[in-house]
Amino acid sequence: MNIGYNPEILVAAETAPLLRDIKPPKEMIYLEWWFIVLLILIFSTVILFTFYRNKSRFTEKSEIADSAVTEQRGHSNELKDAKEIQDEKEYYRVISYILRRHIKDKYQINALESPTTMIIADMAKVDASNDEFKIVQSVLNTADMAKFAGAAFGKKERERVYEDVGLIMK
Amino acid sequence: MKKKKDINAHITEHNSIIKRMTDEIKKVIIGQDAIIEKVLIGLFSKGHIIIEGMPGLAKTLLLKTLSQIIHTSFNRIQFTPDLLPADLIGTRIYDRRTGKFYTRKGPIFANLILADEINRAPAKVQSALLEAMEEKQVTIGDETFKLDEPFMVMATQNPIESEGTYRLPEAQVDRFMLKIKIGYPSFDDEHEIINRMTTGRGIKVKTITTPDEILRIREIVDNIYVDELIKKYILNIVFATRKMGSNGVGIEEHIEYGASPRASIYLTTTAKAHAFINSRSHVMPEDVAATAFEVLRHRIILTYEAEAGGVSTDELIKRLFEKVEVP
Repeated sequence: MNIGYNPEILVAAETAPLLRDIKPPKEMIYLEWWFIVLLILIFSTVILFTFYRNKSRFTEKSEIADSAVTEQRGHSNELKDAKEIQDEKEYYRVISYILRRHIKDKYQINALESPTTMIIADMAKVDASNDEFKIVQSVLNTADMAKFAGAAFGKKERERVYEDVGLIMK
Repeated sequence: MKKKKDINAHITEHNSIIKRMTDEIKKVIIGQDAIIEKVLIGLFSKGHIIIEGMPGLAKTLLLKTLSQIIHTSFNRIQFTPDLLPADLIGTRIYDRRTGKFYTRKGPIFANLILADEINRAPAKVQSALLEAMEEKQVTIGDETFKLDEPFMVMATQNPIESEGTYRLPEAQVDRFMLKIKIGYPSFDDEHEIINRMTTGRGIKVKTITTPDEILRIREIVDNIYVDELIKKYILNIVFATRKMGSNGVGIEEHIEYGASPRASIYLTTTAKAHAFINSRSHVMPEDVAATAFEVLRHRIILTYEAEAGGVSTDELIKRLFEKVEVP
C-alpha cells in the first residue's frame, strides 16, 4: 500500500518534542484542596477511633478490677458472717465453701466440685506456697471431719480455722 | 458415741484382713489393683458384678482366687445358647428305687458364681439367674431353697462379639450393682505375668478369712455413717442424670433415661464399703466418686444421637462430676 504524501503525519512529526509537556486532564488531578482536606479528615477519624477504642478497653479493665475488689470484699464479709454461725457443722460447711471458692478463683482449680483429696493433689501442681498448701490441707481436712463425720472441735479450733482462712484470703 | 467407737475398733481389727486379702489376690492377679478393690467393694456391699473385658484377662482366675482366700464354694457356669434354666438352678429327678422325686441342685448353689459370657444364653436362663441374684433364693418344683450367704455373682460379657448373643435388657442389667470394665495390663505388668505364670508351678494362695468373717464385715459396712450432706450429694448426682429432674449440668441432651433409684442406693452402699476399705467409719465425697463410674455406667441410657456421635456414658459421668458441687 502506497501511503504517499500525508500532511497530518508531517505535522505530528514536527510537534513530537512538545508531547512531553502534555498534562493530564483536569479530572485526573486529585491533589486539589478538598481532596487534601478529605484525607486529613479520614486520617484524624482513624486516630480518634483508635484512641477511644483503647480508652474503653482501659475503662473495661478498671471495671473488672473494681468488680474483683468488690467480690473480694464480699468474700471477706461472708467470712465475717460465717464467724457468727453457731452450728458447728454449718460453720465448717460455709468456711470450707468460702475457702474452696477462693482456691477456684485464685488457681483455676475445680475446687467447688472436687473432694478434698483431689483439691490437695491439684494444689500440689500449681505455684501455691508451702504455707498456703499446708493451711488449705489442714482447714479442709478439719472441715471434712466436722461435716461428714460429725466431729466436734470446739471454740479454739474454730478460731484457728477462721484465722487461717482469713490469712489465705488476704 | 459408744457405737461409733465400736465401729472404729472393728474397722481397725478387720483392716489387716483386707490388706492380707488384697496382697494374696495380687500374687495371682497382676496389674489390676483397681479391679481387685472394686470386686471387694461388691463383696462387702452385698452386690453382684458384671465385668466387661476381652477374653484372657484373668476374670475367672480373680473370682477363683477370691473363693480360695475366703475358703468358700465357687462355681463357674459357661453360658451357651442351649443352656436351660434347670441346668443353672437344678431340677427334680425321679428315683426309680424309692419311687420318689428328689431335688438335684444346680451350680447356682455356691457362694461365688462366675456366669461366664452371660449374654450367650437366652433370656429365660438370664432371668433365672437374675431372679436368684435378687431374691437370694431358688424355687425348684414346689420347694424353695435359700442360697448360702455370702452369695455373689460375677457375670462376664465380651464387648466385641455381638453375633449369637442375647443382649441383657436394661432392667436386668440394673440388678448388677457394679459394671466393671477390665482393660489390658501394662507392658511391665504383662512382663511380670509371664514371669509368674510360666514356671510350671501353680501359684498357691493362702486362706485368709472365712465366709462368716465376710458376713461380719458386711455388718460393719452397714453401720458406716453417712451424713445427710453426703446423701444429698448422691441425690444431686443421680438426679442430674435424669432429664426430668435435671439440675442443668449440661449432659441431659445426651441421656434418654437416667439412673434408677437403685443407683442412689448402690452409690451409698459402695461408698460405705470404700470408706471401710480405707479405714474410715464415715463416708466422704471421694468414696462416692470412687465407684461412681461402676455404679452409673450401665444405668444411664444414651440417646440415639449421642450413641451415633460417639458419646460414652463414662464421658458423661466425668462431666457430671465436674459440675455437681461437693458439699
